[in-house]
This record gives sequence, C-alpha cells and structure tokens, in this order.
Amino acid sequence: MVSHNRIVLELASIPENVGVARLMVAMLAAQADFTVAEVDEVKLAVSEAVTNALVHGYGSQPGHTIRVEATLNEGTLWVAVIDDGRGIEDIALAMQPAVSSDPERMGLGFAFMEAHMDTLHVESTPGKGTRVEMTKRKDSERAARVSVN
Amino acid sequence: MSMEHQLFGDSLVVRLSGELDLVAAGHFKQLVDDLLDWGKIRRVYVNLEKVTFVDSSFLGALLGRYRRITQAGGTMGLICPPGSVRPTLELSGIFQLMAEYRSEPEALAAG
Repeated sequence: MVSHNRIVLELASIPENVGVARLMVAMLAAQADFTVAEVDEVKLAVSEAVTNALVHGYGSQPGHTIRVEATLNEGTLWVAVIDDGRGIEDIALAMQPAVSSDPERMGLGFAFMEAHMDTLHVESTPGKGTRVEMTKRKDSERAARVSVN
Repeated sequence: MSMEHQLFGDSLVVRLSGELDLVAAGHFKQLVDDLLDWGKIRRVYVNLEKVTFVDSSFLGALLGRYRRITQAGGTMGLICPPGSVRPTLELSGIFQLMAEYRSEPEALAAG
C-alpha cells in the first residue's frame, strides 16, 4: 500500500481525456487501498469535474489545457481540477441540481461530486477560470462539506 | 466503450458496454438520432448489462433521446443496469422516467 503519492496531469481539452483523468486518479486511490466502491465514487467525481472544465470552462473547444492534481496523504485523497476558461458567474446557482446551460445535460455534475466526496470547494472568476478541489478519506460516509468562493 | 444496435420491428435495442461518459454520450446521441430520423422506431431499449461506469454526460444524452422519443409518442426503457452503476442512476432520478427490464425478451414482450 502507498500512503503518500502525487500526480499532476496536463490534459488537452478533448472528450477522450475525461477517461484518462478518471483512470489516473482512480489508480492513485487504489494504491491507498480505497475500496472498489470508493474508487468508483472518485472516478465519478473526477469525471464530472473534468467534463465541466471541458464543456463549460472551454465550451467543448479543443486547444486548451485542463490541469488535474491529485495527492494521496495517509488515507486522504485530494484532487484539484483547474481550467483557465470562461469561469462561472454564479457558483451557488451552478451547483444546484438540474441547473445546466445545455438542454442535453442533466445539471448533476456538482451534485455527483458532493454526493461522493467528503469536501468540495469551488473557486471561479468569470473570464479567468475555475478551480474545483475535492477530498475523500478512506472509509468515510460523510456527505461533502461544500464551500464556494 | 462499445455500442451495437439491433432492430426488432419498431423497437430499437442499443447494447452498450464499458465506461459511458462524454465520449460515449456523443456516439450514443448520433446513433439513436440517426435511427430515429428514419421515422419508424417507436420504442428504444438501452441494454446496460455490460456497462461498468456512467456519468452525468451520458445520462444527459439518455435524457435527450428520452425527451425526443416520448414527444413523438414512443417509449424508452433500460435493460439490466448493473449494481455498480445503480447508485448513479438512482441519484439521477432516471428510474422515475424510464421503465427497467431484467432482459431484452422481457422488454420486447412488454412493448
């Protein structure tokens, strides 16, 4: 088992890289013996955060970079997903379930992140980008504590 | 992710496997929309038996096709969602919209 580790990914903003981010962070969680169910929850949260960066931050346009940082520290996984895209005007509104700027989407991205991680922190500046930080501790059943900036 | 489809009269069965995310959402949307454009399909059944992961991008694509087929008077159902993806589907509320079937024969017989 690995108790300390860190990965940093810089991903081109194409849909195929959502799965790359999901897989790499899941592998990190698995190194610390997170359960299969916990790893599945991490995968979903990362998938949602990276998809948001791609679809909302960059308007589904290639040619941009999504940065994913993940750190493992004594049974706690910390993940940051960072874009320098268009940002979010009203974070509290964007985090409400079923609020999406696109009728083809369910608006459940933040709801899934909250449901499956222990903490969720969102910072965004319109025109500058968005940073989503999440943590998950092994064997934790707490619902996410949410904070916004 | 892989995707195949089969027609049974006016019913379309789409069989999916692997991880269903933004990439799968795009393929699923294009396949089902192209087949619905043909104008003869009344029911769509999505077989999830071999699916290992679902996120909200794919659920959004599913919901978009559900809206389209129900607005045209048709129906959509889910076949065999595995236990590992069931919590995500339940959290999304999709079971309140779509019937769930244990097998393709059960779904096709119900239609």
